[in-house]
Amino acid sequence: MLKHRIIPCVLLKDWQLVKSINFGSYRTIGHPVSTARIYNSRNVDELIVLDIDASLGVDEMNIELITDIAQECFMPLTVGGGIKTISDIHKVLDAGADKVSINSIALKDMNFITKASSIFGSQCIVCSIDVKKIQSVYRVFNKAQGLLDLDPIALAKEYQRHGAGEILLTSVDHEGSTKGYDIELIKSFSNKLDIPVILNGGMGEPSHGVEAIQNGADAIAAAYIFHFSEYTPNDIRSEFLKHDISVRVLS
Amino acid sequence: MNIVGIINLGNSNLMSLTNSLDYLNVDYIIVNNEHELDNVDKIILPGVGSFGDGVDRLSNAGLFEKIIDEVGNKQKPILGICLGMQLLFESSSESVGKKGLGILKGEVVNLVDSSCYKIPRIGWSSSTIYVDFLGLKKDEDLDFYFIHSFHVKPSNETIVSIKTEENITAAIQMNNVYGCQFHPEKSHINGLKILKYFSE
Repeated sequence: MLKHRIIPCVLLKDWQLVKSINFGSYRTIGHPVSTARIYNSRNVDELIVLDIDASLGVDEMNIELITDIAQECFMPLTVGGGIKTISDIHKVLDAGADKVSINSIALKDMNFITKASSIFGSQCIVCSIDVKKIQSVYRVFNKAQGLLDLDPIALAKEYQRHGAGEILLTSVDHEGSTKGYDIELIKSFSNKLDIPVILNGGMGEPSHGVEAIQNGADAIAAAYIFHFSEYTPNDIRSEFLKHDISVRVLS
Repeated sequence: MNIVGIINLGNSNLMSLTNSLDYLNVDYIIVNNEHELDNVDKIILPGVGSFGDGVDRLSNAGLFEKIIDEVGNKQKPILGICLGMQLLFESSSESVGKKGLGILKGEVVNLVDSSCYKIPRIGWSSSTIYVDFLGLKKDEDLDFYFIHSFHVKPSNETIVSIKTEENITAAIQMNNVYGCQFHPEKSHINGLKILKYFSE
């Protein structure tokens, strides 16, 4: 049995790490390299870094900074934001990332996923889907294009069929809210996919993570809880163990 | 002072590995051809991609026979990581007809379907140390980070040092030859220990 992962997911903006609430109101939370070092020393299972300036086309991907972050990570590192070409993926992986997270380009061109996974392996390609709930129906949201008339499950299935290795599923409504993950959303995904789903958005306390896994998430991503609360990844790990959820045991 | 040579197959990202070795203060060089291998005391053979492609890349760099000589005749220690470990064996079902280095007897086969994992099998997996392995002590259960679709089947089971809980061979050793199916450079302290112990 592979372990359920607890993954800090942080946003990069103007060489700073920021935390957002419902995809807006960014607050600076520190320097990316020192934060990566802390996460490494806290022995996290993986780290996701998303460059929001690059993803909105404000800037090129900050490869220099990604290289510095990767130097601190002796665990898997996923980098996303602004990836548009195969050569972008080369750059990010050469900088030391292990996987890339793609969003807008996958929406625009499914064949990009196929091409990328055939070159780098599907294990390397994480497809990110942002979701908003509108009148009790889930719809795909894109930062540049806004709300789309797309069913997130159907989209995830298409991504899988085209070679995605994992889905990073973020609830825009729950993001930064600390009220817990969108359990209804992850429930609706359960048994629909063969590839792992990382659920993101809303963790305020360790029990929220347990709830997410018990309802079908393969892994959980979070940011707020690690930066604005007393909880560490280890507290979540202990909570998992209490509920017999398979998690990495630290030696 | 030992110098470790990292074999560059030209298709894989060496950054994670060199970051780890930098952190551990290990002296290393990147080996691109057979001549550069003369200057090293120990060899790390990393690798991603397919078995057949790995074999071709070794051959094209003149490293195929050279590694066999350095490890077999000159007894230089070698550590194969992931595909690098698989290349130490004789053959692989991934690339039928391609001969591996054959430093170790046995073959590489597809992971069998299992409810315990999806293929490619990616993630942290609990593994038991059966024989002391590069600084890790027998009987410990430790987590390592894996990404693979194939695994090794040694002819001689006694070379297996670490197995996952699904009984997949995770590490092997025979005299000066070591191999890890998992990625020590991505396995936090457990992996760094292995790299440090091997390099010292």
